Amino acid sequence: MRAQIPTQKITVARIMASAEFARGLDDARKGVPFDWRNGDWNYERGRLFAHIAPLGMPLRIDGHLNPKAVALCEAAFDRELII
Amino acid sequence: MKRKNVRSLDTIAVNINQLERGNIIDIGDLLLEAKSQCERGDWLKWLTCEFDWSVDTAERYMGVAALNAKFRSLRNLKIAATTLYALVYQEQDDLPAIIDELAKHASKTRLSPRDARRVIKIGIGRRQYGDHPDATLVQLAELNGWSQAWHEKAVAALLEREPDTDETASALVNAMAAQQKAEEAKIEDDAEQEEVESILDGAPPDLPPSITPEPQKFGADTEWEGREPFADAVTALLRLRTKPVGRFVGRFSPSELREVADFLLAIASGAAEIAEHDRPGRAA
Repeated sequence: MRAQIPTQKITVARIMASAEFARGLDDARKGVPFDWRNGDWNYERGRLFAHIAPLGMPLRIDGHLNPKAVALCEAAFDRELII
Repeated sequence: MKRKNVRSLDTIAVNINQLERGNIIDIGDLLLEAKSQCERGDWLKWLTCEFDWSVDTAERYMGVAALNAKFRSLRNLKIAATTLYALVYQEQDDLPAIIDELAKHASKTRLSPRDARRVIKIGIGRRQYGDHPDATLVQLAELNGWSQAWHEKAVAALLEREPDTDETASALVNAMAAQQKAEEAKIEDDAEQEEVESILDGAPPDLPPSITPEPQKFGADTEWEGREPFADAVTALLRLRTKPVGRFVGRFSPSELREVADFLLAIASGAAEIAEHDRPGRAA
């Protein structure tokens, strides 16, 4: 069994602000298959979020994270739909 | 009926010019007199010809003079011109109480415009809400005319607690406003939470199906036209892979490169399948 690497706390907004989260969300919304070479957790989280958020809900509005998307993602984390 | 002596417009203009600009009530009286003599359309011509004031200034002078005709104590008040002008725009019903209040504070000592504004509010508050501490009346007058729910609550709280300093009265109103803001924020949060819950409990979005590449059909003896270009390309890639990556960045888009990588990996996994198939002793 492999040892758990050290973890650190991070906000949902920080996760959503990452480029990999946006890429994962974008790929899933476009029907691009899962990119197994992308080892970033946020890529997978972005893809998961695509299966939750309405298609019309943008990740960003005028360059800033969409507060409604952040609230939805936080609730999805609370329900452990995204981990 | 005995007719009042009527001065000519020229005489009135001379009389006005003899007065100091600060003599607002007398100038206003003379302007009213002049206006009553002018034919329709002549008033503005006469005004602009005789004086370098704006029409608004003349209107303010006349407004103060008209007010003085109703409230004779106005002339004796020690207040600034700006306060006199402010009185012109007050509600008629509030004016007696305002003048009374000003008379209490500005009969002996001069009242600054800032203090006069406060006294005017006290007058308005007293007329509408009766006798309460001045600080309470000021806040009540400031809330006057607002119709939101929290204003009504603030008025009720002021009347009940009757704060007697500006600080406590202002703090009370601010607390009511903050409470209202918090309630509105909670309603907004609840609505947002409800929307989030309905999304999470509802059907997932209708995402397009993932486009899976067609599996390649492999065979060692398969002849096809791309065979030689493929060999050349892979040979070239094997030669180039030792070069610095930076030289190649930007020539092809990430998605194009990803397609090529998928293609090569599909070939690699196909080769592994063939090797497994050809292994001796494997059941057919």
